[in-house]
Amino acid sequence: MKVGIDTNVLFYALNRETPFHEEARENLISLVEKGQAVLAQQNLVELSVALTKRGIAPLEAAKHVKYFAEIIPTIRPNLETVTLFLEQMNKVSIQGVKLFDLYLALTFISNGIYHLYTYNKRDFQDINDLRLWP
Amino acid sequence: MGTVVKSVRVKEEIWESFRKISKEENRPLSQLINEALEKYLAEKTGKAAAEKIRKLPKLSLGPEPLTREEIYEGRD
Repeated sequence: MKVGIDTNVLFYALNRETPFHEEARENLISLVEKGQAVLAQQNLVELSVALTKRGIAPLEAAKHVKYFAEIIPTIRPNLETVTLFLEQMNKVSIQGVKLFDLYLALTFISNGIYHLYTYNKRDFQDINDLRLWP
Repeated sequence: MGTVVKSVRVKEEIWESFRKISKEENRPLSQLINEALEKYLAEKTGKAAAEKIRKLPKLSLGPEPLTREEIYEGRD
């Protein structure tokens, strides 16, 4: 079973100042070891934004993001992603910034990945076909 | 499918065990060997990748939780 990784997991795995740090790191190690962890390109962009907004210089942020990209398989959106995105927009009342959550979830789903590891569970609970991990 | 690879030396008892399983499960030897190699590779690469995650740096990025609003809203 493959598990999509949300950006906050990567961020917390790096950030020793959050209470989720050890848990995020240990869970990520376990998922990576079993070959279950998968990233979307969107995660890499979001992590770059988050790191630089929290004071990390762009060059250093790029180094950390590249590190994850080299370790964890990274998928891309496809034609089905957009089709599903537009379908879901008609069905659910997600709007504004939360549409990025929807697009991330549908990127995983359209690549056959139906589980997501996130610390923002509420943002994803209404998305059809997506199961939250663990 | 697949490629015919060059001859390799295999311990006789391992080979015989493989042949026995192949007969019992009525599955081609090539299929069993491919599965075994895939499993071995996944284990090796998984362990190496997990080790790299263990070696991730620990940064000080503040105690505030990360939200998608923080990522997508505002310019700074």
